[in-house]
Amino acid sequence: MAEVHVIGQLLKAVDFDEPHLYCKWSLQSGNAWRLVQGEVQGQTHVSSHRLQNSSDFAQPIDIHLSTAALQGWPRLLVEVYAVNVLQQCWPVGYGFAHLPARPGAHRLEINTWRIAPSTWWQSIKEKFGGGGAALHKTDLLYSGVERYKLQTRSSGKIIVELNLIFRKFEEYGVEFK
Amino acid sequence: MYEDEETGYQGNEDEKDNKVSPKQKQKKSRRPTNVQTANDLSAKSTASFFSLCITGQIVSATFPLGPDKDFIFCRYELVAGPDWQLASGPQYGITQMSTNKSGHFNDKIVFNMPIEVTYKSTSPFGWPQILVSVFGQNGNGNESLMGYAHVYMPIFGSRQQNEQISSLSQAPILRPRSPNMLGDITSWLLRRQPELKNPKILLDGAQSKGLSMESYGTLEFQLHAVMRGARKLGYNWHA
Repeated sequence: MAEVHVIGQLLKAVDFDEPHLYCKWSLQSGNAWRLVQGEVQGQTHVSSHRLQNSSDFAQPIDIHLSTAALQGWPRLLVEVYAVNVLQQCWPVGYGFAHLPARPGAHRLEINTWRIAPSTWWQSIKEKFGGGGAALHKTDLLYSGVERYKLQTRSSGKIIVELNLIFRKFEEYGVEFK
Repeated sequence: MYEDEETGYQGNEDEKDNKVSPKQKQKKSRRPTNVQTANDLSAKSTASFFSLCITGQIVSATFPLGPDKDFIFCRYELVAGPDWQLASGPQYGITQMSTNKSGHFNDKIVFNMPIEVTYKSTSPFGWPQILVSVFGQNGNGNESLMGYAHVYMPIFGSRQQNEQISSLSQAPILRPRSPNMLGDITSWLLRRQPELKNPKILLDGAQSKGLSMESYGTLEFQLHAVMRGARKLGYNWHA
């Protein structure tokens, strides 16, 4: 069985409107992939920067997967939530990225989107009332099946630095360019 | 090659003498298995270590609006997973107390603290990280926490592309915030920042839910890693 190690950090969130953010991340993969060691999901602490408009998480990611097939290549899903003074939280960004298909060091910038307010009342609620709309089922994050019903707006970026170590892929005839 | 792997331990002389006979036995038994793996791909690979030698330094700390303290020092700790064993080098350390009072308020505060360790492991899971707690001391001798910073040790294959530009890795310094306003008032009165009871939860990724931190300042590291024995185990890090 070929093995993949994902070691890195979920570094920061930039260009979001709200200052206090936290991020829920998860690594999803197909049926042929098995988790050997590590946790495939996590939630960062709430973070803000004193001077800039960014949030530093520096959340370590250390996952060991083993696989029998190339289908279902793992992808990293992120959901960014904002917190206000009253400790209410609402989602301000959804995004995902596939893990790069080459070993080595990578810097992923995940562009995120959020639900666009459809009525005037919703846009007032978004600014003052502790958040607008959220996704009911998060399957829409990574599948393209029913996306035509959604109206979304661009949101900030999540920066992830990952190092990928592959093992025993050559024995199965897989080559990396 | 196998001899060198055994003498990686900086231990007693007695241990080395006891290892003479098992070493020779291992040498004899390894040759036939090597021949076997060339013909038979399903033979089990011999369990062996790969070693990771890390050299580098904590270069400096930079605070954009100044640290507001007279002297800054750091305490560092190296943390790794269960498969990793520290073969040589100190796991903990404290730097000197450094200041930038004589210069501009947002000058770099230089530590230049060396870090030289060697780890042995059988698996990259639990790759070692360095956790630095930055403390500041003001004129009366009160020490308070400035923040925590942590980075992974350089992983083989990383940072080779743009090496010429800078080999500094920068980590944000994160300071825990009090969960309520009473904590903020208390820390302002006593002039002491709240500290985490166990800063290793920042290294875990599964335990930082609900924590609130503020980032201010960066800590610069310059770290290099030399690996040995990983290619034999089948790890592939170059495209």
